[in-house]
Amino acid sequence: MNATGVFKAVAAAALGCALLSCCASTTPPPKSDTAAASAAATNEVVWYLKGAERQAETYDQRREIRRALEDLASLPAAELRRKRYADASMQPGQWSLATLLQKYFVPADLHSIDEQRLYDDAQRPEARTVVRAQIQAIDENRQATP
Amino acid sequence: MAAAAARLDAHVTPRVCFVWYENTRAGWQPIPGTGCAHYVAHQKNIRYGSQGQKCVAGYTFRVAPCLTGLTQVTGGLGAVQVGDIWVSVARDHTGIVTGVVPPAAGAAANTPPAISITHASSGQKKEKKTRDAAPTCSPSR
Repeated sequence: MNATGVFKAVAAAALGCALLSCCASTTPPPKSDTAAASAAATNEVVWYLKGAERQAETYDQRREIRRALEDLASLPAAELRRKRYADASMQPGQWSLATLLQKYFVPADLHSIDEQRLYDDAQRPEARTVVRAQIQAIDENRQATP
Repeated sequence: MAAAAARLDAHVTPRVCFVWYENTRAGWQPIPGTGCAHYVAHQKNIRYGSQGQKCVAGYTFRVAPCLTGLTQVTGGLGAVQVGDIWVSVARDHTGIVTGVVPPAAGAAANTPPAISITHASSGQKKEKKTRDAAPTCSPSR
């Protein structure tokens, strides 16, 4: 691990309080009808990856993410459904492409990936634009801009 | 909720709150991502973001908000202190400085301190302490 940015807290941590409140809430937050309607009208790839934060720890993980994104931007839907990728510990053939995306990307708006739509929607130009932006961000060692 | 938490990878900590409620059909789901920022947020009491940007317990799970209100440590590696937040160049992984060991007496000039970082390690599938002997952060506090 290379440390390239170390940040100092302005405010003191309150670890004890944090852990005490960990399990406090079990009430589901409301989900708006507007958000659901918007989801149905939006390309699944765009909705998940546009503005998503990539999270990865190792060079190998980033390389596997990049390989999956290259596939997403170039392969037909039927082939995407068959593809499998290494998991976080680099065991090959463990994750589908949808699983890999959910393991490494936090979408701007939380939602589960509709795997049936994902691979079909990936064929659309707007989806490939978003995927290419994520690939470029990996190549440039930064987060993709929303 | 417990079922969703049970589906999380082994390294995610804390586990029970790293879930979100999708809808009545899908119910509770694991939060996407590696959980590295979620670990740091719990340790450092970071609660920035709207409801959809925080875990059930109210802590952020993205890296970027973990840096809100912080300033990059300057002054060289000798200025790094236990409790500082570490983040990768690409801002895609984060952890907490949990150890700073000064160079031994008699060590060569410019020998950096040994810095340990504790982080939720998806690669190792556990909370991991990494000894980082030669971090490359540019000091200038």
